[in-house]
Amino acid sequence: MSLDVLAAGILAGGLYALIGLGISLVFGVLGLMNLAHGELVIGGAYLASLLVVDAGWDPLVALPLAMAAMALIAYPLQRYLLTPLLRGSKSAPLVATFGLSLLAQALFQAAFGTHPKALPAAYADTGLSVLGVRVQTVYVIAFGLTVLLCAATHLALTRTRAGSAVRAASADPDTAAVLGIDVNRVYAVTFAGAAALAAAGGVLTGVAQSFTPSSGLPLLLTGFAVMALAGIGSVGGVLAAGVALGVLQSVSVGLFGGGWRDVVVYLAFFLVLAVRPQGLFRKAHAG
Amino acid sequence: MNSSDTALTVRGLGKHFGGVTALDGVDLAVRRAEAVAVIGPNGAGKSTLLKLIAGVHRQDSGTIHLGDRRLDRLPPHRITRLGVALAHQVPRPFHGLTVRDNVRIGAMAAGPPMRGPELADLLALCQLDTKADRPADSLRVLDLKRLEVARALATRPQVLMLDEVAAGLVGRELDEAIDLIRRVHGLGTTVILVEHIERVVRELVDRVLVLNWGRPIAEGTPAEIALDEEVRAVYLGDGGSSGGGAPAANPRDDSQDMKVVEQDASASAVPHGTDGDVLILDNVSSGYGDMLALRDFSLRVAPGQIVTVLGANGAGKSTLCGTLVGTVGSRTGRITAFGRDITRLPVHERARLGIAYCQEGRRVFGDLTVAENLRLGAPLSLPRGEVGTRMERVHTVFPVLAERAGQRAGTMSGGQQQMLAVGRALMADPAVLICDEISLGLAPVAIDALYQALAEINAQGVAILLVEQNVKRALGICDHGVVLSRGRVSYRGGPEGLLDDADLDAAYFGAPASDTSVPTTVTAAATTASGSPARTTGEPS
Repeated sequence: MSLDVLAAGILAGGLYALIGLGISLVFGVLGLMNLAHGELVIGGAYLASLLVVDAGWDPLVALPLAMAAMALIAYPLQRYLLTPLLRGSKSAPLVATFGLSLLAQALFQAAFGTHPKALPAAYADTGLSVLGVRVQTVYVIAFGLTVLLCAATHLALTRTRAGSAVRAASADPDTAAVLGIDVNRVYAVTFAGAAALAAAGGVLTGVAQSFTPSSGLPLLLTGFAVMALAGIGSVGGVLAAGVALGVLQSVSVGLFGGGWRDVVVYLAFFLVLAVRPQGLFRKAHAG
Repeated sequence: MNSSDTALTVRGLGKHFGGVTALDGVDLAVRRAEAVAVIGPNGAGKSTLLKLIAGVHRQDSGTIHLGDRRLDRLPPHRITRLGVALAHQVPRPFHGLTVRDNVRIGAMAAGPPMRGPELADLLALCQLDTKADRPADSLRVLDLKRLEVARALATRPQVLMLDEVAAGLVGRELDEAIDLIRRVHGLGTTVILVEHIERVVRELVDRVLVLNWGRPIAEGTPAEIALDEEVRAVYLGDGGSSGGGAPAANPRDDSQDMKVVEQDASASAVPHGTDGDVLILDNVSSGYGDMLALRDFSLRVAPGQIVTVLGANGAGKSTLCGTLVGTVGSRTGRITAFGRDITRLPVHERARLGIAYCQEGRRVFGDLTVAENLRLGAPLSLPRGEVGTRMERVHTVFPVLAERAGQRAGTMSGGQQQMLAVGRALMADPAVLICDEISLGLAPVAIDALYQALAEINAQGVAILLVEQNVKRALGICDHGVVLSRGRVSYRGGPEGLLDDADLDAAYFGAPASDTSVPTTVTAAATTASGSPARTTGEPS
């Protein structure tokens, strides 16, 4: 096994972590499985393509704009559609996100067609050598950005009062409300934040590979696998789980060939759910 | 005891939830066809005991046997099939299914299917035969309780455990529920009853086990338990300060009038520039589902006043708190805060008006640090400097919160967590502080510290609504007292009107205040335990 394979796995894992982080955040705080997360990712890529393909911007310049735009779209979706549904039952918002996922795919198709798109950039196909190991430049950039965004998310959650409000609303929404925290708003802000992270993942994915309106589903499933590996409630755990998954995938492709890529991911997913449902990187809850 | 006449044997049972001891060394042997009651105040471990027997939770120590068969390692469905059934306080029927189908599903759990005649007998026993084909959703409270019992009986249990099935029933409904349990017991079923309502215990069982903080403190016939001083003390609180130091150990002098519902504010400082009352409840009724836990309740809290609301378990105290802060919706009536109608205002907006709430059970965020918990009490929009100032103010009241600032709240002791909960509420700079059972489960020395802090907080002009089971403590500090009994007011006035034991018994348990013969009064008081007034209407005298 060459170091190239290992390095490629680690770097690809960064992208997985970025996609898993948004899913994990929404599930951890709202208790909602967001089945439309893949479309938030792809939506970010399409939004960026308006600036990159049509206006000639660099994807990295378009990235913060795509993040902000997805957050602005996501906020009212949560506040006025999903949150009222959360009051009713657990399954209604889940089904609603599935509906949103289908709706978004149809919208992408109508607006952008079904042809694969990519975000052209100078660093899309180049490689570079780090300590004698060959890696793709775009994945190095993606990994760096992921670490940055994970750190920012972690600090926002643990070092700011708004972050403690999010953690409080996650742990005990009733008590948080009694303290004057507008839990519905916390939910909407969290969802918007997760959408922004998704958009960032989408732009980077769009540079690294091409995408179509239906590219969201495999990304969603990879994100779920990351969340299952990481467990809920630890940003560092998500990063570690993404990297672990990337390495696992890359090594298995190296050993068994490309056909085994997804099989290994889902096997890992089921094994972890069966053996350590609380995730690899989280201590079991007492009581 | 010979196993042939013993239905259920519990030995040395212990259970912890996190750092909280729910049960500690409980022994109980129930003979075949016996009826036994387990009583005790909130948090005594009664429901935990039933859940351990039913296999819903696993014990940390001890054993449970049904006859010679060991139960405590079996999954819940096996225990049910062996003949132990549990009926819950809040019935949870399968909605959309008829009454008959609900019972039939209960029967499926127990081996050979229940055939038509047997099912019909069971429905008749529970007086559901005329309603068998109605959807379970359409049942009223009493019938829902009957259905809960019927579903438990459908598993053909040798031992039927009833977890407060009479809760929320009044008047004739209560008679009917007692009759039902008596009929079931009469058929030879062993009955274990967890109950707060004294009448149910007195009329149905031969033997009572009293738990307090997970430990058995008394066992005997209902009459013996009624005379037990320790049991009485447990239900009425520890009787004042242990160390003596609390500044407000005596009732204040400024509340002489027995009927001072609208007495003048005794406050020196009026916060937030409010004039008039801080809180007014006007004929408020509220509850859960079909049950009204609070009925036509009115109350005024003036600025700077300390009002205490007393009452036994299930009297409606926590419902009152929930209704005030908005977690429980009110059905009728009007709630006004600072002159504004807040009856329909969402929870967080009420909090921002200056109503702070310390919930029962502390509810601190265990994974967050002490400092983080405190900061959450302040509005997010408050500038950092001001948050710091408020924290310093809280730290002067509770110095331990400064020492533990970086510690995770969940790792502190119960008393410290309670201080944190009060401190967190103070961070909102409230005009009124609602405290629900803040002395519950704390050592007397911790209660001293908390009550001293309450007096300090009140001296700064914060009105306090104190909901307590600890009667003597609450009366020692309040200006005005209200006793709730099953959702209605049974006393209203100055604390001195409750200091006399006979008066307190009358308000609490409905014993006639004029009857001074000791045995009668004490019997009424203690068997009621946390229970019901003899007058089922419970109207204020």
